Amino acid sequence: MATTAPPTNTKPTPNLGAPRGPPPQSTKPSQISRPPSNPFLTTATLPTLAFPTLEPLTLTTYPSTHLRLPLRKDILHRAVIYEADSTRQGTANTKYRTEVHGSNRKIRPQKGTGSARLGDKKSPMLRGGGVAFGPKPRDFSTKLPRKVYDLAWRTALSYRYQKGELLLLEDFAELVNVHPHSAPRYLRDLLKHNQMGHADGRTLFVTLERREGLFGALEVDGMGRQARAVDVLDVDVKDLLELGRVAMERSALEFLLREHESDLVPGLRLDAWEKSQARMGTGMGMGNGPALGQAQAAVSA
Amino acid sequence: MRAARPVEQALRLSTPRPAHHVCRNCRLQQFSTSRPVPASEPFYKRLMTGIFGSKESREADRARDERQQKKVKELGQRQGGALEKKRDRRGREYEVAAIVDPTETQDYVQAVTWDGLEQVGSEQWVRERADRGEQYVGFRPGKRVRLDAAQWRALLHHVVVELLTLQKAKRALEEACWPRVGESETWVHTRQARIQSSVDGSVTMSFAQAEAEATILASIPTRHPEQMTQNAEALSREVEGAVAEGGPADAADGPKGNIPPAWMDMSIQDPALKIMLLKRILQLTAQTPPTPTLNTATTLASIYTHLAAPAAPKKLAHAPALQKLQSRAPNVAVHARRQTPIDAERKVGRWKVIQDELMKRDLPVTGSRHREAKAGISMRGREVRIT
Repeated sequence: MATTAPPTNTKPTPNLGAPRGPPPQSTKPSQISRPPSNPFLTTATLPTLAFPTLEPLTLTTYPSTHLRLPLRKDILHRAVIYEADSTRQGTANTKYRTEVHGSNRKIRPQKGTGSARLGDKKSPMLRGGGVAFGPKPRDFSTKLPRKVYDLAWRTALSYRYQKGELLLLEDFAELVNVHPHSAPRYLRDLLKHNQMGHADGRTLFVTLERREGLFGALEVDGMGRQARAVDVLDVDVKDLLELGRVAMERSALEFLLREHESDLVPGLRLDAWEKSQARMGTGMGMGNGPALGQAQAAVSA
Repeated sequence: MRAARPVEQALRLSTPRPAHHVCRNCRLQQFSTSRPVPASEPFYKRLMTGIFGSKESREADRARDERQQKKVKELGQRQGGALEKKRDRRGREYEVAAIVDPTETQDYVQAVTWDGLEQVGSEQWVRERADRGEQYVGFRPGKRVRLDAAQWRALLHHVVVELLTLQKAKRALEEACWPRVGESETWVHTRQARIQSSVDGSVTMSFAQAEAEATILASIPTRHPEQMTQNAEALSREVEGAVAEGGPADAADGPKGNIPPAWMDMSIQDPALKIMLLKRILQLTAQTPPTPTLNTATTLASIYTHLAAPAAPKKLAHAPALQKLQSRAPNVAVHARRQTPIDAERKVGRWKVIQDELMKRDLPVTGSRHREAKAGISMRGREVRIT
């Protein structure tokens, strides 16, 4: 049986084109170097409150990329201006001299009258004439890069969180067992008791969907002075910054955070963070036990 | 009229002959489209009845007055002037208004103005009547409890001892927020506890008497109570008892001022402990550290430092930096509000005289919203002239 001859010692051909540098790393999995963890990635914890008693139920955690962003007033300004521009109706209209109803006849001779020369009576110089450069219906909307707008959203939420003005409510925040006739007075008592009403700067309730009891109570005359309620599809960055505090349903907050994270790489988005938390053994809701707390301690700064 | 004769003939033949004689005009009116109204009463009589009333209507009025007087007499004979009480459709009790007959009650004076009378029919009145009366009950107490640094130390000691006692007995920490059994005064026993925290954040607790721990556990119910919200009086009594003088066992050697004691170095990174601590403090004092503080707090000392810090002054004049200015620069006066000409008059002592003279002449002392305020000002179109 012929055996294969052992390979002779041959010098490897030098790779003349390769740049000089450290030898390439081994491809063994145990020796692949992982990038170091980002020390700036921390967590933002806030209590979830029951509604309407506002009793703290549990602690909920979100990544710092979503609720602990530094304050960027310039980005907030751009977002508010962008929203205001797109909200403009733009229907102001005036008539130019060509649109004013009237004849084009020259109303007096060019020369010989001793007065200024005039063409038709629709001139802007004359009473009853057109407007020279008046407004016309147009689109005032401006553009803002999507990623900048999303960053503004999360910056506004982070600002509210840092000031302690972001209240997280449990899902389905609704006035249960309260008759619609009593709801305005009941809600006014709720806001006064918890220092969330007119005297304390008013509150914005943000819910995932329209809650008939809560929304109906705030639509009564005079309740706008106490608080406002909007659903996630109608809320703006400006609304988040306007009133004294924001009381948001947990599902509404997560909807907004997911909707406005296009500027983050996929690895830093909320879904990826949830998966990493689940792998580590902590969910987004906390308050389970000492073992979970230790894992949480490893995450938070 | 000659043309009406063939019509007459046709009518005579077509319609059945009436038994009595019908004049020509009536015959012609047989084709009228309007229904003739028989006049049962003459017009004059109808007019008199409408103005002065008929016999039947006068009888009805008289009967109604008699019934009213009878009712008034019955109400007058009621003991103590008690009003009749009734229930409406929704089960709400109300009092029927009294009927007072001025001819019988000599001391009754009819009101000339509406001051003091019950007013009905306004929008607010309608809303109040439609209100079903559901009362809001919140988790936190109605009033915020203000405590100084020493009182906060005592209260936090009381709360932490309760929570650690439950944790040691392997009971749920949520039970700390449940209403206590009977009139138990757990603060008497929590004072006896001594808490020691180690470097790694773990904590040990010991009682001077073993019965104290058992008494604390016995005062906290084990079953979910039917009435979830605690009595406000019980909560305020608990706070007063916990922060009373003669506080925790280690208060004698505790630090002064806002410096947190050594036992507050205990770790609160356990989420269950953190949320229950927050909940219990909120339930007792209606205060809670803001969420960023809660987020970064790893020991109880962080929370205590925030709670015990004095509230930021609302007026710049009350800020510590400007308070110090009074001693450093005595020629500078700092005021909390705008100084008005009245303040200038007060400083020289002239205001009292001005006030007395104005009141003597029945003139308004302050304000501009009175009848004579704009006597010298006239507005013509857009131009304001002051004379």
